[in-house]
Amino acid sequence: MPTRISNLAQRIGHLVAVLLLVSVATFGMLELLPGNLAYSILGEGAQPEAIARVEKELGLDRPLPERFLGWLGNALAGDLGKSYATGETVSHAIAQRLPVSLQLMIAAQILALLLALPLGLWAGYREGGTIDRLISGSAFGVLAVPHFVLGIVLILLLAVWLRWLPASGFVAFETDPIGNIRSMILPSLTLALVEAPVYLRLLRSDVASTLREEFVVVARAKGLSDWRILLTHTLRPSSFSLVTVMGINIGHLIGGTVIIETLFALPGIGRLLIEAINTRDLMMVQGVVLFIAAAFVLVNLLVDTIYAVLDPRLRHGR
Amino acid sequence: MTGEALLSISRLGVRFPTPRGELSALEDVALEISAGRTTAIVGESGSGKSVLSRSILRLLPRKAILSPDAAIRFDGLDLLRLDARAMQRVRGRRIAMVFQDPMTSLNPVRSVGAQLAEGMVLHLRLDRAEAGRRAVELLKRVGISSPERRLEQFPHQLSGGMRQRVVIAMAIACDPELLIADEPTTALDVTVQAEILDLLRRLQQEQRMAMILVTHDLGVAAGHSDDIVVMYAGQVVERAPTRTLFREPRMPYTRALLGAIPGLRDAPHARLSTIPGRPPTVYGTAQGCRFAPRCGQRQPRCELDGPALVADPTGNLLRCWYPAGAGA
Repeated sequence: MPTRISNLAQRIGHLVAVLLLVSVATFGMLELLPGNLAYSILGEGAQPEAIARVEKELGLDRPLPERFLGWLGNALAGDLGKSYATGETVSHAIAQRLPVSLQLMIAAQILALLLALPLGLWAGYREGGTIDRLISGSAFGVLAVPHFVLGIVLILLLAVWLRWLPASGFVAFETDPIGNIRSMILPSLTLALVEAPVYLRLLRSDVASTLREEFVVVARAKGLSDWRILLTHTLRPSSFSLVTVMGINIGHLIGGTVIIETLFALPGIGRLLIEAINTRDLMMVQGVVLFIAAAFVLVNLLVDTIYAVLDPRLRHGR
Repeated sequence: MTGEALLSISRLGVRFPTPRGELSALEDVALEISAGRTTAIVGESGSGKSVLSRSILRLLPRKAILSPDAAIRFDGLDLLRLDARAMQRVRGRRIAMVFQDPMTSLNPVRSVGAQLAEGMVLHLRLDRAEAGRRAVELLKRVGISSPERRLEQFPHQLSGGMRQRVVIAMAIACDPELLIADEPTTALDVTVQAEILDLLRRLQQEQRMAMILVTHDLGVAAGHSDDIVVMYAGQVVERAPTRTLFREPRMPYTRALLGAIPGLRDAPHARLSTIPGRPPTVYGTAQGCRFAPRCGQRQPRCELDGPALVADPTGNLLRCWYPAGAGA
């Protein structure tokens, strides 16, 4: 038990250190940009007085460490500043866009697992056989297709030809729950098809190697059927690489997916970031990047704790 | 060899495809196990004893090729011709198995209790509470202290000897008629070995089950079996009641094995007697007796023609052209 607590403390210490580094990097990113921040806000040919005013407003006239600490303090309090372009606060913008990215992420993960778990188990069970070659081969084929091509093909198939779903656009859940779900199917499916092959292949190879373990022979000797052995004895010890990669993906996806959100016109975090970059809305870029980094680090902390749930050996630390 | 055999194996051959050709792991194996008796299968590593013990429950890898006329009969059932479901009803219920390495025999991510209970839930249709109660009883019977606590634990929290006790408890959970113990003590410390062997013998007598004890250790076989089957290079070369075999071993390989056991009356620092050479790995089909290259009594005939396994008047089996004590 004491080792568990000190482990957790150690992890949280790590987390704080990483977040601090990230904040330094995010803050430094803007400092390192060529040119004057006030110029880029006001545009070419701005009056020197106006520039001085903006600099004072943003605190650019103060020394760097002081500005950093001030910014960090605000960020910790949840205040990431304001957009120059729209005047909207950065945290408000993130709060507006986050649900869309989260919904996309969760739906895509569920779909990807629905595809990858049964197929990966089956392929691993029949390692080297026809079924395995069929499943692994198609997975590899899908893996080789870029996101946007997959998306376009799905739009063509399900929206243009079959007319089952809208081709793009987003409907908020509050206004029309059914419309919301319909608008999310194509983007989630596209994303799921991108990720499922990776999950499938990881699971397949781990299942195949778990099935070579002696305890699987013991389970067979007990009279358990093959599918029962797959579900009760094989899946859990075969899911570590899958969980790791899923954690990395989820961390990424909280920050939105630029390509999918753009293709399907979804107002998620990825679009927010791209728009901010395009309009040189630097406060927004800074805030969103910090948020994405923090989300990534937090999700990976969560994954570390899931390992302990999956593998009792990590719980008791021997 | 009195009474009807519980398990009888005949003409069992097993081959594995390899890049160098088909490896012959077992050839023309015949075996009979009577109810309530312990038969030791003895041989060097690579002699096919593990393949033999696994083939009874059909636990060989899928690529294994069985000889077409092989038969394994268990209490009227033709095991090699059962469908998958019928075979599952035999496994763990009527024939159970204990494996060599307790470190790898248990699933590291499942609790001892869950692994102990699943066989009983499956075969005896017990509910969780009943299976839990019986699991506690089983752990007591195999000599594990504070069984209630052990059920909650995971394999990595137990010592090797304790894990093997759990594996044995798992095996006897459904009162099998035959227990196959495949080198159950090879991976354990010497002191623990004796305890586990005594435990197996006690359980075998209490449950009146038949037992197959696979071992490379003739000493183990001597103290814990009623009959001994000696294997060499995938073949049974001699079978006799344990006492007979030790008193008058007839096949030269058996004699060499017995001669290789160091005795207490040997002079100090006397050289250990060994059998020169190594057992052959047979690809395809071999000509002549498989032991001939290492045999002290080899005759020209041995290298040309392999002897068959034949029964002598007392029913003991022997595979040798020139056995000791024949016509001498």
